Parts: sequence; structure tokens; C-alpha cells
Amino acid sequence: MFYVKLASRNIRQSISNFLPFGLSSVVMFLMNLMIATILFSPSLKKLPGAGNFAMLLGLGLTVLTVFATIFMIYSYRFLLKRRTKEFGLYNILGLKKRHIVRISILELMMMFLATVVAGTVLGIILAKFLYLFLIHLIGESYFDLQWSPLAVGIVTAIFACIYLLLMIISNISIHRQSSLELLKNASKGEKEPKSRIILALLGLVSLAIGYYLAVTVVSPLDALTKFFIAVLFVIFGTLLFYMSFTIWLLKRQKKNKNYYYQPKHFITVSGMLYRMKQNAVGLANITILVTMTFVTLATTVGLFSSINGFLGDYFLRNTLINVNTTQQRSIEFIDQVAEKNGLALNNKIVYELSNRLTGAMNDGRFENKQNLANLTAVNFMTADTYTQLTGNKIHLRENETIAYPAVGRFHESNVRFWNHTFKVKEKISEIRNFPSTSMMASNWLILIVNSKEQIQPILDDASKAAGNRYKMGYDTTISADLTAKDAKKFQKVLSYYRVNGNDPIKRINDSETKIEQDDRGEAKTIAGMPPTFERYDDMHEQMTSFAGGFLFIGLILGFTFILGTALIIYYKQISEGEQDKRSFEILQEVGLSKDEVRQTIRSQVLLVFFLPIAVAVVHFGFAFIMIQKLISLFGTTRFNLLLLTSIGTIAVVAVIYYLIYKQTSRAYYRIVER
Amino acid sequence: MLLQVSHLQKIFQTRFSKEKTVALQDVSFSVEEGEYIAIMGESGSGKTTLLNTLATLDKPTLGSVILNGQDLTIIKENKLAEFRRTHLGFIFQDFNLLDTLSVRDNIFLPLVLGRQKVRIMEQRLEKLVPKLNIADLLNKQPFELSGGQKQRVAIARALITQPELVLADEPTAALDFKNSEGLLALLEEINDTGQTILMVTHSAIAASHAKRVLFIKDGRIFHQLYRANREASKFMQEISMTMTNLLGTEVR
Repeated sequence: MFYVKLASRNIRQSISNFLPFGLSSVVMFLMNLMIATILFSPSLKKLPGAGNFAMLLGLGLTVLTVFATIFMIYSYRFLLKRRTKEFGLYNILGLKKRHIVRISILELMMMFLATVVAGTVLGIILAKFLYLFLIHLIGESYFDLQWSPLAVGIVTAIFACIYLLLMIISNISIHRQSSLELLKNASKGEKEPKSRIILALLGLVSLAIGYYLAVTVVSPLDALTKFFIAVLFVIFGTLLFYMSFTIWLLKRQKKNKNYYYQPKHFITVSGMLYRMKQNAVGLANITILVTMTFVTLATTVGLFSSINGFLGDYFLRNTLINVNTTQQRSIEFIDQVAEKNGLALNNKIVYELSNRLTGAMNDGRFENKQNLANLTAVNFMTADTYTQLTGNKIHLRENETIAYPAVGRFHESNVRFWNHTFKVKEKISEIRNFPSTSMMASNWLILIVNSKEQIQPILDDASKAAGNRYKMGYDTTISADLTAKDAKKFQKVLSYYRVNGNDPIKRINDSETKIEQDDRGEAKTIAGMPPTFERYDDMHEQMTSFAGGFLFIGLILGFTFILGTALIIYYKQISEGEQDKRSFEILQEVGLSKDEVRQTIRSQVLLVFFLPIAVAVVHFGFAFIMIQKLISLFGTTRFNLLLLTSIGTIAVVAVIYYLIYKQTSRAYYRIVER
Repeated sequence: MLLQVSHLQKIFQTRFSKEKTVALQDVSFSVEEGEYIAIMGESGSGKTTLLNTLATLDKPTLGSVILNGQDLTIIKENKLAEFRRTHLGFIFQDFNLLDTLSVRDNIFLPLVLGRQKVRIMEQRLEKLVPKLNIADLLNKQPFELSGGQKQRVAIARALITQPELVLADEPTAALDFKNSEGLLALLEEINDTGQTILMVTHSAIAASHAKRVLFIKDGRIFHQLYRANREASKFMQEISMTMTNLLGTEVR
């Protein structure tokens, strides 16, 4: 009982030390609980695309748990460091280390209970609020978010593990120090850090590799695989950068006497240099967190905001019908069915493409390899179709082609399929009345050639190379405006038909074959496919729910990252304030006026403020290239919009960051000027 | 006359109580150029308040402090730091060296704040180094030094601005006996080169190295002793006796 009393008294008396720790504990608990509550909510299953969404939430929960663990350890070590003197005093006054450990464990248990109670209560209140927000994003109204004991139980279990870890940490760190060490303040003198050129180079090289990976990404799938490797390199590089490169730079500044021996630079440079070693990790953490915030928010906001633009590019009209045969046969067939059922297709746009060839494009050579890094889908278009779409006449020789890279890049002057080679006469950046984006994750290349005679041998070779038993040919896409009622009816009617190239179109009695565009198994293809049917409204609903869910998680993660940044900065300011207090007193006595002190602090603070933001922006600049590719995996390729949302996100985060810095700087000033 | 202190009075009053504490009461004395003065008193006698007033860290309630014809008590707040930097040198009880700076940079500090040229800083340091025996210390960090070494560095920092007056606040308080002796001898040597020093102390040993000792009690100066050409140890005996008398008889 005595220890319980002592522990609770400790918490109450040094509340200023415990408060940041408790706050971060509660907030982390709350964030985890939010996601868990949605994840375990029974209404989740009712959402369209619930599987995807649940997977995203699960991923979000995992990321948050890892983050919470790291963060709680960080906060707790800070708390421990500030209390070493107190523990040392207990030790001197006769408490055994065993007892001190018991006190600290009791303290932790109290904090844990407080966290669970406060977190759950706040969670119930906040869940309702967040739920409304989520519904607004996803655009669903039947979603009912309930307080779920299961979610609370799971998050409590996660936090119990985290707190157990903290108890172990406290046990180890108390036992490791001698009582005298405990009593002595942590303000031992430190030697000026040595500039380690090897580490600096290693850091730069590591950053360069990470950046290089980002820059050289060629396709969305490539971005996905390289993203995590690049992230690891950049994190490692950032840490080394702060640990060595900045020290090297500061040392160089110090060597330049005319620069160094000026009042402003003198105190700033020496202070930064002195502090760089201990704070490299802190600065690297802040930088990485800020970058993570940028990336998370920019990706999700970019994804969400570009849905409309993407669908606008994809849907030339509100309905797309794809029939697996030539243009002539398709139109005849569709018109006939439409007429028979009394359906109206308005503003029709029709074009015919060869069946799609999927493989790797290497230096203009098409290879039948399913290589993720440079997967490219190729469709051929005849010059006639091009003319029909755009009204422009073109003249192509037999071995010439016009390339239109709708997704991805294409710079070659020749393009080769097995032993058929085309000279690229021209590269164009758009085709009128033709979509400028696709639903595929891969790159998409359209090659316009003179006539079908040039295409067919290639299609035959492709079919042979893939070992297909069926012949490759042409499919036709008809874009038209239909009323919602007509569209529904038409889709149902069409699902009874089976089309395969030049085979006769069959009508069957049951329509159970699933109507999915990419569901083209061999057997089914031979049996004939129903025409695929895509509606703008359906797609819009689906994508909004997906991207909305993504955005929701992005916002929660982003918020948590910002909060983490805030707390790290706060800790940094407090501990630095305590270190600097004496220095500024001395400086004033030696002859630095209050105004000059304030100026010095400001320039020092600004430097520390701008460094992580600047580095994070550079990181993000490279990440942007990857994000752009990654997002196009979900079907978005609008560069300008993404750039705009990214800049907006950075601006918003920077402003929040600045506000945090200003607030925490106050704490610093208060300590220093006291 | 270098320094003229006249009718100095300092009254502390907390904001919420009417109780007044008189820290200094009608203190007047003067210091000639090249003098070495010790101000002696018990703790609470007002000697630190007096030093802070001379150091412009504190403003007196009444009276004036005139250094080389300039009244320190009417200097504007934003000019004070500059004034301290250019006219005064400080030696503190706990050295007050900055951990973030090397020894050399600690010594340069006031000159850097005064935007002095690097060449001049180096020239001045060169002249001080042999006098203070700090050649080996220059490239170290303060935490690597012993107390005596730190205080020598602090003296170097006080002297490098070539101040009109060096103010020392219990400079030997944090040092052991041997280091104290060395330091006091050093201060005497510095004084011999013409540097005016004003030291505040409660130690009779420290005070015995000065040329003149002022005794302060309850905020008043009421006695002074001249060392003349006596040995420090002889002078110390007289100081000790005076202190004993002071403490023994109520002045009031």
C-alpha cells in the first residue's frame, strides 16, 4: 500500500512530467480504438468493397500499433530521464532498487488504467463524430457505427503489451545505473562531435540510392515493389545525414573564422554543433514523421480528389460497352439488340482495337514476359479507326506506326514484336474521342498502323507465344449516353449473349457467367464472352467508397503523425530549454542584451524548425514521383491535380507544424527567461 | 577617480506585501584607478546587491554610481548589455563558462558579441595566455578542466575586453585551498599591471590580498582597512579581528 501511495503521489506531484506521456498514451489509444471500432463494426460488411476497406483498416491498425509502440517508448524514456534524480534520491534515502522498480511499475499501471478509461470514454464520444465524417467521405448513409466491446478489448490488449514493454525498459534502465549516477544530473559535459566523413558519405549515398529508386520508377507496379526499399534507404540516410553531414557542415562553418566569430553565427553554430549528436535522432524522427504525414495525406487526398477527373477521362459517355469482335459486327449486333428492346443509345462513339498484348517493353522490343517492373499493355489501332475518331487523315507506310503512350512513357524510334519491326513515325499525346487513361495497373501503349494486314501476323505470333488455343482478333468499345433505366435493362439483356471474334454470336438461356471486364479465362474466351458493360455512376460510387475509406485512414494516420511530431518537438524544446537556461543567463551577464538573446533564440529555433521541414520537402519531392505512379495503380494519372493537392497538403501541414513550433517555443522561452 | 558610488540605497519590496527590506543604505565610496578593493561582509549583508548594482544587473532605489564620469544608474535598458561588455569584466563564483563553446571561444565570447575583428581577438588572447598560463587549455572543452583552470579561463574572458573595472564575485568560493591561493596571487599580479579590481567576498583570506578592504553590514559600509605594505597574512589577522568585532557588537 505504501508503494501505491508513493506512486500515485509521484504522478500527482510531477504532473508536468507525466502529462505529455499520459497525453500521448491516451491519444495513441484513441486513434487505435477509432480504427478498431470501424473495423469490427457489423455495418462494415454492408459497404460496397467491404473487403478492400477492411484490409485497408487492418493495415492502418498495424501501422498505428507499430507507431504507438515506438512512440510510447520514446515518451517513456524521456520521462525516465527526467526522473533519474528523483529515483537516485530514493536510492540514497534507503529504498532498494527493487523497490524503485516496483514504484515505477505501479506508476505505469496507474497510467495504463487511466489511459484505458479516458481513451474508452473519449473514444465513445469521438466515434460518433468521426463516423459522421466517414459517412460524408464515403457517401453512405446506412452505416451505423456502434461502440464495440471487442474493439476496446483488442486495443486494451495491444496497450497492455506496450506497457509491459515499458515496465521492462524501466526495470532495465533503473538497474543499470548506479545510485550516484542516478543522482547526478544528466547534464554531463560532452565532447564536440567528430566529423565522420565515412558516415557522411554513407548517408549521402543511402539518400542517393533511395532517391534514385524513386526517380527511376517506370510503372505503377514497379513503384509498389520499390517503394518500401526506397523508404528504408531514405530513413537510414536521413539519420546518418543528421548525425554526420550536418556536423561536418557546421564544423566547416566554424573553421571559417570571419563567419563564425559573428555574434549570431557564433552562438548558433556552436550550440547546434554541441547539440547535434544528441539531437540527430530527434531531428531525423521529426523529418521522417513530417515526410510520412506529407506522403500519407498527399496520397489519400490526391486519390480522393482525382476520382472525378479520372472517370471523366475514362468515360467518354456515361456508359461503356465492350464487345469482343470487330467494329462492323459489334455495331450491327448492339443496334439490333437495342432496337428489339426499345432502348436508345445517344451520342455514340465507336472504336475498334486489336486484342490486348501484355508483356514487357525493353528498348522498343516487346517480350512476352509478365515482368512487374515494366509491364505494358499494347493495343493496335488502324489508321482508318484513327481517322474516324479524329477526322484527321494520316498516311502510314507498311512498316510505320504512330505511338500514343496513354499511360507511361515511350521514347523509342523503333518498336519490335517478334520479327515484325515498325518505325515510329510520330509520337502523339492525345487522340480525340479516345480515353486517356485505363483501368489497368500497367502502362498502356496504342500503336496506330496502316491496316489490319500488319496487325494480324503479330496477333498470331502473340497467341502462339502465349500458348493460347484461340485466335486473337479485335474488340470494339461503344461509348454512349443511356438513361439509368435503359442501362440496367440493356446490361441484363446483353448478359445472355456470348461473343468470340468471328464466331457467330450466340444467345444462351442463363446468364450466370460473371460480367467482369478482366475475367477472360481461356475456356470462357473460347465459349464466348458477354459484352462488358461499365457505368459511370456505378464506378463513381465504388471508387468514392474505396478512396473515401482510404482518405479516412490517411487523415487519421496523418493526424497521428502530426501529433507525434508535436510531442517530439515539445520534448525537444523542454529538454533544450533546461540545458540552455544557464547558457543564456551567462550570455546576459557577459553582455548580451535581452533583445539579442531573443534574436539568437529565434534564429536557432528557426534553423531547427526549417531543417526538418526542408529535408522533408526534398524527401517528398522524390516520393512524389513514386506516389504519382502508385496512385495510377488505382487508376489516376492526373499530374497537375496531384501536384496541386500535394502542395496544398504540404502547406497545411507546414502551417500546423509552425503553430506547434510556436506553441512549444513558448515553453522554451518560459524556461530560458525564467 | 575611476568609480564614485554615492548615497546608494536599495529597497526591496514584494508586490503583495507592505514589508520593505533595506538591502543597501546610504552607501558611498570611491575607487581610484589601479586599486584592488575587497568588499567584505556576511551573507545577507548586502554585498551581493552592491555588486549587482555596480554590475548594472540591478538598479538602485536612490543614489548614483559613476564610472569614468558616466552614471551607470541612468543608462537605458537596451544599452546596458553593451555597456557591460565594453566597460566591465566579470569573474563569477561558479565560473559561468558555456559548455557549448571551447575554452578559446569562451574567452572570445565578449569580443565576438562586440563584433571585434578576428585578428584583434587573437592578438589580445596571445598577450593574455602566458600571464594566465592557459596555453594548453585553449582547445579543450570547459568540462575537461579543473576548477582552478576554469577560473583562470574566466579571468581571461574578463580581461580580454580590457575593461576599466573587473568585478569579482566570491571568485574563490568554489575552489580548494591550493587553487584559491594560486588564484588570489594571480589577481594580485593582474592588479600590479594596473588593472582595477573590485572583489566581493566573505573570506578573510581572499580579502587580505586586496589593497583596501571595505566592511559592509546591514547594508551600510562603516569601516575600511588599508593593507599598506603589509604581508597578506598580517593583513588577514587584522581583517579577522575586525570581522569578529563587527559580529560581536550590534551596530544599531
